[in-house]
Amino acid sequence: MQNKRSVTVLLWCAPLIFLAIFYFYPLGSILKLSLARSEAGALAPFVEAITSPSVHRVLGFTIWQAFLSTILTLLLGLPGAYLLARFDFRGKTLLRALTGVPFVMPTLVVAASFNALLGPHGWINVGLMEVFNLPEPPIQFLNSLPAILVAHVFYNTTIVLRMVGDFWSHLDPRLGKAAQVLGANRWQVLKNVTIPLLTPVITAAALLVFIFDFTSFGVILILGGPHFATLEVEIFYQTISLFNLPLAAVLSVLQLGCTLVMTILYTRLSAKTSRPISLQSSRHTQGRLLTWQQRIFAFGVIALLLIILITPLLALAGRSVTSFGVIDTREGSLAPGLTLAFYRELSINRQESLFYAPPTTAIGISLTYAAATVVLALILGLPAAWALAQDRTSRLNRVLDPLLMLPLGTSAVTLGLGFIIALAHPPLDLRTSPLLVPIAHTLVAFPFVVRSLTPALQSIQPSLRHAAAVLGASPRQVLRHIDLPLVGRALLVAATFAFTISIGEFGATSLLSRPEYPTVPMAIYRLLSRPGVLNYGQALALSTILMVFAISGMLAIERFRIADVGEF
Amino acid sequence: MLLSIANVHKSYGHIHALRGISFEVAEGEIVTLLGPSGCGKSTLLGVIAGLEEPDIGDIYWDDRDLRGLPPHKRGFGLMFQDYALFPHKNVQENVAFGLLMSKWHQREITERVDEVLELVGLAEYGNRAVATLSGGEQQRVALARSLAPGPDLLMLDEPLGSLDRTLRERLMAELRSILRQMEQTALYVTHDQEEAFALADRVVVMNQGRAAQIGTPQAVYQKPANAFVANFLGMSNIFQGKVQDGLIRSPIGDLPAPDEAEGTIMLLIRPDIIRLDGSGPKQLQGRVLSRSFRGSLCRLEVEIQSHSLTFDLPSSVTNLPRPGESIVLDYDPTETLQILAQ
Repeated sequence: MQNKRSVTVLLWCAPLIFLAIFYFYPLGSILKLSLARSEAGALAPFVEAITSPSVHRVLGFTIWQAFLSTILTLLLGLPGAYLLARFDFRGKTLLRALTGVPFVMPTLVVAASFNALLGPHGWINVGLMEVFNLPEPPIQFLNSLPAILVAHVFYNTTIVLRMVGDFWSHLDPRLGKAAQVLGANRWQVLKNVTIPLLTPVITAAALLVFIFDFTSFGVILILGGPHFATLEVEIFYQTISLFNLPLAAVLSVLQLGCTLVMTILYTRLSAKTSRPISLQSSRHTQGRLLTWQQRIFAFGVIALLLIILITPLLALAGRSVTSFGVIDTREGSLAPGLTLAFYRELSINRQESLFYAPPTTAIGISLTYAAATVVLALILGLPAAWALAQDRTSRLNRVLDPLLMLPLGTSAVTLGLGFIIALAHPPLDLRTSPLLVPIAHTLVAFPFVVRSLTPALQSIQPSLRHAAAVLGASPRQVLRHIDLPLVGRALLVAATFAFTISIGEFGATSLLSRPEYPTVPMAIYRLLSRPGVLNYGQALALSTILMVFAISGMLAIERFRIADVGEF
Repeated sequence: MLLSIANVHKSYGHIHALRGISFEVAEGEIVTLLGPSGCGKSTLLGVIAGLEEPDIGDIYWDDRDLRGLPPHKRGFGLMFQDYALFPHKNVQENVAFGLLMSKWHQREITERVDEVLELVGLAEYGNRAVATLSGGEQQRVALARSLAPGPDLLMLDEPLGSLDRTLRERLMAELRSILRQMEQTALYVTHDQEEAFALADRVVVMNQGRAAQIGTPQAVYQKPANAFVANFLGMSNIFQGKVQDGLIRSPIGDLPAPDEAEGTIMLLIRPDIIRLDGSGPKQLQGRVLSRSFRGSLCRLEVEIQSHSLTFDLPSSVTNLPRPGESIVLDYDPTETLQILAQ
């Protein structure tokens, strides 16, 4: 026992040292800076910030847009959850998979997608201009509150569908029938049985959506434009444009405080929903679409889900290979129609561009960063997951397990700010280190890596090794045929997580990346903020490439994840 | 004897899983280990397979001492309660695993796997992922996997435990015919007496890490050795009595004593060897408390001298008394009354 414990302690060393230097030290530096000017007591800078009208407005807007987004997300997500939970129909697996796609999309892809659909050069505006012969795009979608809200709904509906839908699908429908037998009508069943049972999971899902909307960065920065600032965006402006680091630090601490409270609330709530009262295999809870009302309902919900969650991505891919009107490129002018010109243009270094290199370089840089992130995240994540898998209930692990998840609750912009404050001067001057961005990405990916590795390592039950031994496998053969292959697949899943997260990360990168080494999301951001159809087309082409990476990553994870034997 | 277990002890801290169990298994014999959960059955299989070392005791296979021999060199098969199918291998690869370990040629492996899958009725399932199989199918794959290398001894740990009743009965019959057909020496662990009796040549009834009784199913059922075995088999009319003057003085009255009985004894009044036709030779009188219909049998709860006894009578008997009515039970002391070991 003593021996096992010291192994656990040893395994924890590397991950904890990493977290101490690159998570707690930067956060501590933010806190220290935010308190630095405080002469009137520790809370003074915060009181001062909150009472200042500009911060007041930012905080108010952050909450307001998150609240509206959450309500809209529930309005779309709950009917969808009901459909997925209670009905079985052809194409359901596909629908489930498709509705999961937005969640894994990098922010920049989402921004580019809505731009391709509803922006001034997007399908709808170009179409309307064509049909009605208008000189100007009739729909002003970008830089508006609706753009922010729709993008948030696009992003987070999956959460409601999955969390509420999965819980609902295992909820015993006989409870409702029992209530009916006891004399309740359908409305009373809904009010007295279904809603009370679903309330914890709906609240948990809503809270999670709210947290994501509250800390949303890329969507607000790009789709909201300069008129809208949430806390997160304000931190970015204060850091990058105004270089007011003390105020940025104060805002970061405010932001951290808010997310911490919400995360604690969420953890409490989701602990409740993890033990549903009477779990039923979904086979017993789902029926076919029988009545015409059910069919119309299903058709409506599916159509709405596909329109909001899928058409923007299709618009992006389609627009990236379509040109309207005549565009001048280096190779000559481009006729309307299908074209790969935007993709070709990516590899051309244009003199007047802000880039020192053509956008394709960004792909190489992103891939390099992603590879470094994968290596770092696995080196640090594997020992932590191994220690957790040994014994989840040991006191050491019980304390350290939630500690690992902290970076998940910290906004990427805050992480970036922390790096800028803490790691820009001795003893740790990493400003020019090419490792800075991968380290930040590793922090973001680390919780996912640990969370995906631990159950896989735990699933290698002793009985599997025993079974192999009885069948004649020597200890070395057991390692080769049982342990390594099972761990290998888990490692592949974890590596894909790290890779996909790194390649799409924008929040921390926007603060940390150097202009001469742009990542793909940074390159898209710059292309989108520059005028001209050619820049626009290149942004969409680069976004489409990023989208393909993200979808491939998701497919790989689905493919290599080992399903539990005897799962529901 | 092929397998011989003698005085095996195994403790985990304060828990004594095995306390000196001894029994033997002959070649081609199917022996079931029957007992309630926690009686040490699974631990015993682990010890025989080499997954656990006994604290003391001898385990011999064909007069060879097995102690210290690692599991992969014993040449036994073990089918796990949770099947322990390898989740990263498909059905074919799971079944082939043992053959691969004993270095069979690829062509022989393919043939053997097909043969065994055919035997368990899964001929078309070779390429399926194990996660996609139903409980019953997983059970068959686990059986095929443990049968494939032709183990000298096959051990099965509650193989039908987690399946529903109808499936269980069907698979029980299949399992029996497969084991017989292969003349497989087998050790079968279960807590279900029906399963144990249906499959076994001999039954070892286990209680608290010891063998409470060893014998053929018929012998165990017809003559349970002690109160534990009788109770476990569902015979609950057990009373303490004292033999005096050729009579057993018991709480339900004086009963005729067999010749060999003397002193204080445990008496079993068998619930199943009883009649209502007035044919004697001895009779018990009481009042019916309840009557429940159980298919071919009808169970009566009868109050005799303010003690409650249960009796099973064929449902075909007409004029079964109703609850509240008095009843006269005919019995033959030599068959119905059994003296149990203390």
